[in-house]
Amino acid sequence: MFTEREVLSTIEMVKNEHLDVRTVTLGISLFDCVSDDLHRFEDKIYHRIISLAANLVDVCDGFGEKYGIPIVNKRIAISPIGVVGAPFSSEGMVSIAKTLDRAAKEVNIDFIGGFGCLVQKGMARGDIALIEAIPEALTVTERICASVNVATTRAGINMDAVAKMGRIIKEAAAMTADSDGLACAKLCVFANIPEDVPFMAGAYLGVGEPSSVINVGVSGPGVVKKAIDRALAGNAELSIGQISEVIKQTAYKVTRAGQLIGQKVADRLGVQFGIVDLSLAPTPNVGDSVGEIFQSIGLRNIGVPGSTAILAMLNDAVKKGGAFASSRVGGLSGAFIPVTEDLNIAEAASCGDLCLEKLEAMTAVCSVGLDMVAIPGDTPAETLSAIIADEMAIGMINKKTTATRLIPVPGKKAGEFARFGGLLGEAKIMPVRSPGASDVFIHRGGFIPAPLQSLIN
Amino acid sequence: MKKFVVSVLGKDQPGIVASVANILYAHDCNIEDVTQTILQSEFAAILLVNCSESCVPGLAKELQQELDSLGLSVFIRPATAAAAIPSAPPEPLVVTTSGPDCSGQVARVAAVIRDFNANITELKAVSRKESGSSEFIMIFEIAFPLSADFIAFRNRLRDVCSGIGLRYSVQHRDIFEAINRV
Repeated sequence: MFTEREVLSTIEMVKNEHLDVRTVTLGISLFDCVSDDLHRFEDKIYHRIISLAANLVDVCDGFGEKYGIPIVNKRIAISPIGVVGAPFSSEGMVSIAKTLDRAAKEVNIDFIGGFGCLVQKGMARGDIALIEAIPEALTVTERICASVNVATTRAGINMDAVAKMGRIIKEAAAMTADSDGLACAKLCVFANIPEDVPFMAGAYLGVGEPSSVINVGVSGPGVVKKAIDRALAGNAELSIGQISEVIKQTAYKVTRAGQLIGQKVADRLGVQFGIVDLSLAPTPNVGDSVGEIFQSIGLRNIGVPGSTAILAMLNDAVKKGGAFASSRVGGLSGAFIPVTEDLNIAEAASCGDLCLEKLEAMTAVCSVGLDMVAIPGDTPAETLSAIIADEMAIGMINKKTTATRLIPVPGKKAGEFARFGGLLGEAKIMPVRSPGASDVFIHRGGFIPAPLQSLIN
Repeated sequence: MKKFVVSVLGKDQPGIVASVANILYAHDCNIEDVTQTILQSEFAAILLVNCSESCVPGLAKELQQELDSLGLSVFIRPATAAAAIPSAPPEPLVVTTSGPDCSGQVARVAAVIRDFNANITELKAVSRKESGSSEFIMIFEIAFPLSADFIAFRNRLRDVCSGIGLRYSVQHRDIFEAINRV
């Protein structure tokens, strides 16, 4: 028999606090579809995807109904196209992107990730073809997401790739100028990319993963915030350690929901269950914000002094609670701070409390990076590359994942609005200090060598 | 030896279980299983006992005498045979309703549950009049047959509840278990 408190608090989490399974992502390996014939390759990958994913949406919706916890997004992550499509040219890569888009629409999923490559130690022919195809591929398709890994702690940073990605981002923005540079909202540059992230835009199925796998992304920043508010209503003088406990216990509950449902979906589909990614991922919906957690804890806004400390605590508390709740934890697993996807963070940026430099500092302690940051359209490619390089360095040295999802909005300046629609949200464009001051460094190219892993000061 | 069910109902006070158990012991009865609950200030208990049929009239008389003086009613009857195990185990669901207190709520919701051949295994209703709000919350844990249509059940609950101004939810029990228990 459950206590009244247990039943009602569970229901409250779903109905009013936006507890949901943010995504169930089916990973599909395409390694055995490889061919040097483009049409045969496209045929194989199309049929592989639609046969494995045919029931994904229905099964997820069914379990969402039964357990009362909605599965908001159903997605697919595939083997990196830069690897499985290595023989093809950039035109071939664009064609592959269209095929993937068609498959995504056929099975009715909202995003398919994996149009990407890993180039931390050098760019192979297939990688270059893919990278150069990215702007057009993300313009002519709707549901493709791309990620390029340019750095790892073991390999260092590929500054040639970083320089190239700055240019590619500008090109992608220009091609989607009429939608505020929307293509860039589907493109991430990574350091230490995990192979099992269920969230977009970084999802892909790495080498060493099985033929198919279900990875689950839970969420619930609203649940965490409400839990903190309730605890503070009971005792307004709670210390930060006590708040950390509340967050940890709440993260446990949220992750348990994800674990249960993910396991059930995997069993029903006959697919291996992979991991639970217990990231706090906000959406532009009211009450589903990571930024509001900072206000509950006692800052005027995310971005003011104290933000990095709170984020460090939040990120760690989420990991601890979630790790106990799940048999296998993976992906990013921490707190996301995407500017346009979180109403409160966008507002903090808008009023000047949150700036790009503070965001960068915060990425040293959270699991994502400079995510969904809209910047002026005239920011030079070299400055974009330099911002990326800084973010990669934070990831490389701290042995963590970092990434950038920067959107230089064509034709708009700092203070104007960029709108991407749906989950991608909207925000005021953030100013970039000292643009055009990093060109010589970026033009130099080459590789930043891997850091020492002892002598860790 | 035969199995009998003894039920006790009345004003809650210390010593009820002691009195009943002592009388049963004195008549050579063995208590096989027992459950008790307290609702506001009312006490209720059900005991499954093994005893010889011949001692039942004497047992009933002594129990009645003793418990009457405490303001309690007692009832003895032969126990029913254990139910046959269903071929497909039912799904455990949790149905909750909440809203302004009004008569007929329990009847209407329970009727929907009955109509789908589901069985209520636990029921808890809590009036929040003590706390000042007039919300009436019901929590039904039910065994829902696999053959029954979950979506139709959910829709019917929705219609019935909205007709009497109640919020409702229905979910598989596992989710409450997963979230609240280690």
